[in-house]
Formats: sequence, structure tokens, C-alpha cells
Amino acid sequence: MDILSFVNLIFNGLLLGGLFALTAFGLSVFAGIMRVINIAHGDFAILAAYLAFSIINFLKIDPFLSLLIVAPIMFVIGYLFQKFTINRVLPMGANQPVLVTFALSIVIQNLLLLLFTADARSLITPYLLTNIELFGLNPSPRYATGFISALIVFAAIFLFFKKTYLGKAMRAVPFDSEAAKMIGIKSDVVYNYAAGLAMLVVAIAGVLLGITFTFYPDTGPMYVLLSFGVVVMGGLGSLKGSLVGGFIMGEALVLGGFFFGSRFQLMFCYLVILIILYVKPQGLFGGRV
Amino acid sequence: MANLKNYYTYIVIALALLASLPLWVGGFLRDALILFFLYLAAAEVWGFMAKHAGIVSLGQQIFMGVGGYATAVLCMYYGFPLWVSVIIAGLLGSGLAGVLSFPLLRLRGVYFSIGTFLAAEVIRLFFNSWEFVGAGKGLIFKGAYGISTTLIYYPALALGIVSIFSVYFLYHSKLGFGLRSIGADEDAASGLGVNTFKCKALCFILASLITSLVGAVNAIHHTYLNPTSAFSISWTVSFLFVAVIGGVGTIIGPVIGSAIFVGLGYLLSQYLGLSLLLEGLVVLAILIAIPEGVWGVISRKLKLKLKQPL
Amino acid sequence: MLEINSLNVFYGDLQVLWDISLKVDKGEIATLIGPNGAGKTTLCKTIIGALPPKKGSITFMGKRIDKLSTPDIIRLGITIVPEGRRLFGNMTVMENLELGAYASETRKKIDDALEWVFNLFPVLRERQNQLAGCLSGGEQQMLAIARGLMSKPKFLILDEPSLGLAPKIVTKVYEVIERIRDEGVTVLLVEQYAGHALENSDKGFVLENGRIVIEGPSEKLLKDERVRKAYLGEE
Repeated sequence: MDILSFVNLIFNGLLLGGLFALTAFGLSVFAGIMRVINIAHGDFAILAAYLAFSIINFLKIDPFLSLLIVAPIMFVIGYLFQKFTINRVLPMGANQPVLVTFALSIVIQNLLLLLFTADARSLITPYLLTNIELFGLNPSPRYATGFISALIVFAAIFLFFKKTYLGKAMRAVPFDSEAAKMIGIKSDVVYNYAAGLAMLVVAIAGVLLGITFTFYPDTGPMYVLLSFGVVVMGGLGSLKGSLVGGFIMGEALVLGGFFFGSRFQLMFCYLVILIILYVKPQGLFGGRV
Repeated sequence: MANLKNYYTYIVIALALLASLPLWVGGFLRDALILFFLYLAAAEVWGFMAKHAGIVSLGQQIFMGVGGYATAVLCMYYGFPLWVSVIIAGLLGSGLAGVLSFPLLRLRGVYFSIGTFLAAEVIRLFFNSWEFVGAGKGLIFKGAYGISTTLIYYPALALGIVSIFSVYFLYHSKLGFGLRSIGADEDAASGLGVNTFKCKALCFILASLITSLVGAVNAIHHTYLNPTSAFSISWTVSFLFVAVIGGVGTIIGPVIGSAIFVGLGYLLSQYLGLSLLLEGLVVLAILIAIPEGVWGVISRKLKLKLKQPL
Repeated sequence: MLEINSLNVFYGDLQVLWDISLKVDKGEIATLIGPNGAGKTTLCKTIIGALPPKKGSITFMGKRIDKLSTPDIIRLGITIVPEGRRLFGNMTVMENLELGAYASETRKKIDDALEWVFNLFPVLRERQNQLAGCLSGGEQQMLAIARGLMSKPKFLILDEPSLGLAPKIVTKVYEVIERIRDEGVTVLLVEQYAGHALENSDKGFVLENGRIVIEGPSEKLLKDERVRKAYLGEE
């Protein structure tokens, strides 16, 4: 392979990394604020993709437009999920949320299987299937869209946390929830909105994933494992870290494919995550759940 | 003393009854019973690990698959007798667990759980490309042809019973005591001198031994192995569902849970995914509202005060 | 202004406060002293709504508040500066102050409150963009009190404001408390170090083992035998 093709590969890996980062943001927000790793995270993303799929088929609109409907729905789902499920089991011990989110993952997968069958699905955006040339490189338009979306969402979330009361409350509660309570912040309500926000981001990621890759009812776990890897590399709750982690994961995937073939690229990524966990059991930047 | 004698008599009668079952139930029910005991065995140890040692493994499928594949390979490629292969497969599985303990058991809480899931996926993907065992096409377990369900029933029953007794004795053993302290507060336990790594590893290895044996018997029962189903997360899902529905961490719980799980599976088998969906919803409801499970509710209503960990 | 009647508080099944009755009038600085573990912080938590009492009542400006939530109590005019300061160390001085106004009406017109607070504590204006975790002990206490003032309270509870501070800083803290009272805020001071607290307050209550054992004007308490022996280090 010549230099240019290799650089192209690396470049596309970076763009893909943006999409992975975007996918991981939701997990990072959820884990950073509620201190719970949502094992059903990937399944929620795929749920969003299927929701978009249904809306697109019903209303015949563009996938990106469908986000206008999917995103609010997912926000509400996240809010209710936190309110009636996670908030209830948080006091039951550290492993209860693990069981709950795992069970939910199975419920979502089987619900999708029943409603949509096991056929492969995809969100079609013909205008993104063209070839682009940029300074001699060929960035994949879909990866690039994911990358740009990641940056936009990152900026939006960053501003939200910095400038709004609710955003600041969301940073205060995980730091010291008792103090927050004493100055009048209701942590349960903050958690509900945080979960809604996380699912909103997951919705965007899910639609973009659905545009970029085909999906099945059981595609979710792969995305939660990769997102987990991103979060582990970047540090729990750190948005900047998720960007960096995403880029690393994207490069790992494309380089894994380059060196070991497409059959082994996913396995390579998982091994990378396991090795990082072995070397630093708390993740590259610490921060336990 | 008289009471104790009665107690043992009941157990002996129950065992004799169970052992004689294949003689008077139909073929279809025999299949169900095999599944019942296999799930029971695996769920008992899973539940013990989860509830008492605080270790939630999402990777039990590793041992189901390794147990199955090892049995088939040992039997067909190396000519070991079938049931000897099963035993060796069990040991290989627990050996693997020992090896995996080193990277995985350093992880805490949900990190461990996801770590087991990751490891399982790596192994699945590996087997999917490993020509020696047929890669994606799988392996036809010819060595298990002609083994009647009656013959398979007894190892399944044995595993169920062994698993129950293992959990019971483990709970009351010194190791079990150490594990329970770890499950309650790992840092405190470690501060008190408990070798947390050793305890968790031994527990993990024991659980994987039983699970690998379950995987071996299951492979003989199905006579066909492929990585997608052998290493599928559905195994862990099943064990989790059985344990939680029945009452996680109890001994009688998974008995009830397995009956419900296998029963529902048969009833709703035509609608792909419906049984799992329903069971998943039930599990969620239980986890949120009645964490003690069906058995917990029953024993509470009947005001039974059974000795732990029943 | 604040009236507590026969308050009984439990942690689960464990009773920690028995028949607490006390009154703080408008414009006073009252102090609650007592040994560690007597229940002073528990009482504070109960007043602010973080802990529900099993029996008894708390009335503020004529209204029953013992069944209200913390945000509602803050909106009525009571704020607490928690023991140990409990700042959000991962956020800036300004952000901590802004969160102080979160639950109250001042949230909408926060600039007035900020001005007031920066005038009381000029050092905070200087350090407004620094992380709260990087401030010195004294500065953190200033920030904690300032955060409490952001909701423009009528009644401020200070739980152990002198904890862990050098004597010079403690004096400064008490100067600030005087100033706050002069600006119209009623203060309930909770302290382990009785001397300073009694010298700077109008009336005092001694809490021991969950019960109020002595009460009266601070001047009298300073001369009281029992108080001197137990809390002022005299033989």
C-alpha cells in the first residue's frame, strides 16, 4: 500500500473516531453524572435507529430530519427510564444497576426482533454515498458527517454544562450530592434530566450509526462495548476524553483491519480495550464508577 | 435426631424419584428436564457469584462454549471416550477461568462485568475464524450421535444436584465466608486480611467448572456446535433470568426460576424473541420492585424461616 | 422568627434528638454549642428539610416548615452553610456562587446578589474564575458563606464555620457574621468551640446527647459554671 492510501486510511480512521466519540458521549454523560454504566447504551442507540427507520418509512422524510422526532422521543424515554428504573435501584447496591441495564438490553433487543425481524436495516442517504476528494485524500462522507456531528454535539453539551443552571447542577451533584441537596438541588430530578440529555445524544449517535452501518436488533452490544472502550480510554465523565478515546478507537479499528483483515478488526479493538483495562484497571485516566 | 433422619429420608426419596423420571416421562419432557437441570446448575453458581461474592459475570458463555468445543474436539480428534472428554473439558474450562482471573478480577464492579463480556466476544470471534474447529461453519459432534436423552438426563440431573450442594457448602465454608465479606464491602474485607483476589478467583474457577460441564453436556445433547450459538450472550442471559426470577443468591430460587424459564420458553417458542422479551420485563420488574424474586415472595408469604442460603 | 417545638428526630429506628425546643428572634445571633456527636448537625439538617422529624414542629415566620422540601424552605428564606464547607471543588468560585442562587428567586436577578457578596468578600471577586478546590481554607469558608448568602436569606445557619481555620481567619469570619447581622440577616451559629461563639452571639443553647440542657443569654452562659467547666476549659 502506498503512502497516500495509508494516510487516507488514517484520516478516515480519525473521522470514524469522531462517530465513535459521539456514540460514547451518551454513555459518558450517563456514567459521569449517575455513576452508572448503562449496559443497554448500544441498544438504545439501535432503538433510535429503528425509530428513525420507522418514521422514515412512514413519513418518507430524510433520516436527518427524522431526528427532529426521534431525539425528543429518546429524551423522554431517557427521563422516564431514569425516573422509574435507575433512581429506584440506585440505593440497592452497586450491582443492581448492572443487572437492570443488562436486562433492559435484552428486552430492547427482543422487542426490536419481534417488531422488525432479524433482517438487516439501514438508513439511506444517497447523497452521502458520493466520492469526495480533499487534498488528494478520499474522506468517507458518512464518516465525515459523523465526525462533524461529534464536534457540534460536543460543543453543545460543553456549553450546556458551562452556561446553564441545570448543566451546572449536573456537575455539582456527582461531586457532592449531599451538599447539593443542602443548597436546594434535587438530585433525583437532576438525574432525570441528565438521563434525558444522555439519550438525546444517543439518539443522534444512533441515527448516524444507522446511516453509516447496517444494523440488526442485536447490534447494540457491539456499540456499548466500543463506547465503553472509548470511555475507559478517555476517562469517565470527561467529554474531551471521549473525543480522544474515540479517535484512538477509530484508528484501532481501521488499523486492525489493515494489519489483520476485516475479520479480526473488531476482535483487535476488544483486545486493545482489555489490554488497557489490564494495565490500568481504572481506565487510562482513572475515575471509578 | 428423629427430625434429621426424616430430613435425609425425604432427600433420598426425592433423589430416587428424580432418578427414575426418564422411565415414565415422554421424550419431549425429557428434553425439557435436561434443559431444566442444566440451566439450574449454571444459574445456581452464577447467582451465588452475583449475590454473595459481588461478582456479576456476563461471560459465562465462555465456559459453555469451551466446555462444548473441548468435549467434541477431545472426543473426535483425540479419541478420548465421550464422558472422559466431558470431565477433561470441565477441567480445561476451569483452567481457562484461572487464567482469565488475572486480567479480569482486578477489575471492579461493572468494569469486571463488561470485561467478562469483552473476553467472551474475543473468544467467540476467535473461534469464528479458527479452522481447526470448523470456524464459522461449526462442528458436527458425530461422537455424540446415538446418545439417548435418557442417558444425557443423568449427567444433567447430577450437575444440578452437584451445583446445589456446591453452593450450599461453599456458602458455609471459610472461602464462602470470605467471599460474602468481599461481596458486602471489598475494601473492608481486604483491610481485614482477606485475600480478595484468591477468594474471587477460586469462586470464579468453581463456577466455571460447573458451567463448562454444563456446556459439555449441552453439546452432547445438541450434537452440533457453532461459535455464534456456543458463545452467545444468551447463555448468560438465561442464567441471569433463571437466578433473578427465582430469587438471586438463594438455592431454591433458581429451581423455581428454571422451571418458569424453560416452561415459558417452550410455550412461546413460535414467536421469536417473545419469551425472552416477557422474561426480560419480568426480570426488570423483579429487580426494581421485588428483588427477592418469586421464591423470596413465597417464603415471605409462607413465613418460612429457612437457613441460609436456601 | 424561627421556633422549634418538641422536635424528635430519628435516623431510621435510632432516636438522635429528643424534645428539642428553641426560639430565635429576628435580628439575633443565636448559637448552638455542644460536644461532637451531640446532634447539632442533625438539627441543622432537619431545619433545612434534609431530614424529616418524627414528632414536633418547626415554624418559620409563622409558617410550619417541618414537612417542606429543601428548595421550598430555601425559598422561604432559610439557608445553611454546611459543616466542612462542602464546596463544589470541581467548579469555579463564580459557579459555586451561582449554584447558591439555584433554588431561590435570586436566580433570575443574580447580579445584585453577586455584588452584595463580592462587597462582603472582596477576595472572592479577585478569584472568581479559580476552581474552588484551589482556595485556601479561609477563602473556602468565605466562599461557603457567600454561597449561602446568594439566596438572600432572612435566616442563615452556619454549621461550624471556624472548623480547621487559623485564629486570625476565625476572627475575620466572625467579623463577617456581625456584618451579615447588621445587614438584616438572623443567624444561627453552630459551634464546637464555645468561647468564640458565645462571645459573638446574643443567646445560646447547649445541646448534649440530643437534648438541650442549658439555654439563656450568651453573657450568662459565659459565666455559667457548667458551661465553663465543660466547654470553656476551666477546672
